Amino acid sequence: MIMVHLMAFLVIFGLVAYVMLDGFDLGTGIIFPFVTQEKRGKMLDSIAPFWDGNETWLVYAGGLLFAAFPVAYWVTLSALYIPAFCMLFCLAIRGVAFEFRLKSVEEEDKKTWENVFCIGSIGVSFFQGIILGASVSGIKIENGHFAGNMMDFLSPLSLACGIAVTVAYAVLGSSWQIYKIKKESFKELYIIFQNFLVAMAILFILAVPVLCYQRPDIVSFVIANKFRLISVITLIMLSILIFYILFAYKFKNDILYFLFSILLFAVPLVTVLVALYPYAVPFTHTVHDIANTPQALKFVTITTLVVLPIIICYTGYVYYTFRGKNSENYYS
Amino acid sequence: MFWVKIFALSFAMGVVTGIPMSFQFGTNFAKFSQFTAPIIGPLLSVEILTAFFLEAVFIGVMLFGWRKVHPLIHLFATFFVMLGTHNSALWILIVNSWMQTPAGFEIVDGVLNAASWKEVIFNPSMPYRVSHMLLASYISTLFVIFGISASYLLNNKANILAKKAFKLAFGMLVILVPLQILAGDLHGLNTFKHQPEKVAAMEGHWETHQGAPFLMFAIINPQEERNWFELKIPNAASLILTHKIDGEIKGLKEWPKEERPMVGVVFWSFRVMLAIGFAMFVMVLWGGILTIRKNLYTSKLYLKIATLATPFGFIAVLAGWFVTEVGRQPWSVYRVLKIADSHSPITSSAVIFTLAFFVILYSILMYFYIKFIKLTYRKGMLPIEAVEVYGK
Repeated sequence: MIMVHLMAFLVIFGLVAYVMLDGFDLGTGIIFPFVTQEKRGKMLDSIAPFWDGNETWLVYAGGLLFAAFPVAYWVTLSALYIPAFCMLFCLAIRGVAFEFRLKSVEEEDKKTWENVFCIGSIGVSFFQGIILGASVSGIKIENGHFAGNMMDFLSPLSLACGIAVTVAYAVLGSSWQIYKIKKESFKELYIIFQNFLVAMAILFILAVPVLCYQRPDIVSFVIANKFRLISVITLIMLSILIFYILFAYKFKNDILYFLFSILLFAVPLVTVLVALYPYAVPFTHTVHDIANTPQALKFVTITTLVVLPIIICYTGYVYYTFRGKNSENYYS
Repeated sequence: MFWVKIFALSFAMGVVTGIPMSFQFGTNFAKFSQFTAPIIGPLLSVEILTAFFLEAVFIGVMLFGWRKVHPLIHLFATFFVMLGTHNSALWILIVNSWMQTPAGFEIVDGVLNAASWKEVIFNPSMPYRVSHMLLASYISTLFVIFGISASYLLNNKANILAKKAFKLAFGMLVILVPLQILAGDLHGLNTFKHQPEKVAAMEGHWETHQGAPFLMFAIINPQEERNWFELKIPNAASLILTHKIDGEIKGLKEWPKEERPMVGVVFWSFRVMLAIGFAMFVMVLWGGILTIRKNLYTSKLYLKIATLATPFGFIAVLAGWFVTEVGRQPWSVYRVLKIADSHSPITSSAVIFTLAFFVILYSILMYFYIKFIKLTYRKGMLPIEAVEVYGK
């Protein structure tokens, strides 16, 4: 039993790590249309050593879900077949655009790959939002398999989440660039950051009635059971948000923007998952219903507990190595 | 830096085409995932934990850390990327081997369960598949290095680095190609023992023979269950597989029609692989003779053929995977789960649509990949580049 909870924690850990880390390099692509071409190269420089490792957290979350809670893995992925494939498609063009941009010689080619990178980043974020929104909207399950229509993923909530996640990543991306890029570019990036932050606040507020309309059961469950937890966390979040908009311009320490942005996303994500726990698919399947066999769980739990700390250490080492303002020029 | 550029391009292609695969277990093979999750889930998670992070995190240091870390640390980073790619190969081949020769499992009330992880991991075909595939990867890469540096030598554009690369690649091929032939032979014997119908398809034998011939050429006719235009070496197949001149090899007719693989595909892929293996062996021997005559670097004909042989390894690897994967049909897990019972409950039009989409996408990616490899090639090898200096 303890292993089920432990694995649920480890999967959620991966999910949060993914959103935080790949969030900033996806966000960097999303804000490309708002910056000059000369800056795009510098922005790519600042994410070059990290993006591949960041993306691996997505594979980690998916792989661990398969190993520990296989039902959730195959039901979600076959139900969300179309958005999942669209996301993978965008992930592929974005990944190669990175490498092809680096190897391009002509200015025209560089521009083309930057555009591909931007479109790919937006696509990945949007479809991840769709996947999130569609999972919350509910998936029709019969006999342990998806039993709905291929287009079920389309709903007001999933579309709203698609846009919200894209905007959220843009906030993360611009705050990372504020941390990494030299002081001269601060103002330009800060305006982008602020605009996306406001957009996100509006989207959050708009998402509430949509959620109430589509899943009144989830809303009433949360209010009935975890109301205190939710309200405290929402308050904390809102204060961070307000604090940001009012005072962020005065921060001397550039990394604070990024750290606060991370909090801003990690907190609601964890809150939602914890509020619904132990339900994995509300309100039909708990984590216990969908867990793998005890032998398999034991194997996965032990390996993850042994290897994950090592991964965190060397990832931390690499982030430490490339810390501070970026001075490397590979793309610019 | 030249080879690192080619490596980085290939690595990016590998990452972006590999990630979709890790999700296809769920998107396209939900019933396969459902049935095999207790065994394949944990194995794949080990791959992710011990391989993907190692390569993805340290490649950042390897490609972009020249000025940031001490050369020794850089060497460590490169070593960890290598360790990661090896772990990746090891665990994914363990999964594949288990699908070919499943072991260490039990099925209780229709639910698969790992009875012994040791037997799951060290399943009968695992050691052979891992060695055969690792050697194949080394050799494929060495032929790329061999071919590219040969073309530099041929066009007199070579500097000391190209010569060094050529010599190194050749030296390693001399050792690895014969080893690979041995490993392939052992793998074949292993398949003969555990998956005899695959071997029957590889050999194109319909009837059970004592002293079976090796078919050099044949047109397979699965409808009439016989071959046309056979060109054969008498008793050779029996000699290779049973080490006896009149050893028995079972023919495809021993198995019901619906449990036989697509014979033609397996038969011809196997021959393509063998032909390339043979050609590689000849290249090594010929190179050896040239070395003794001291004109390895100057023989125009040899360098030309070496250039043409650049993609040899890839073709052989693909052909080999066709043999082993098509040869396992109609099973997804050999004699446990059929392909027909493995797919997701999704419409076929969605599958065709996404498949077509990905074929187009991958073709476009391939086009640009080759374009950028050519670009890198044209730029040539520079002895030392400014970027390599640490602490500047």
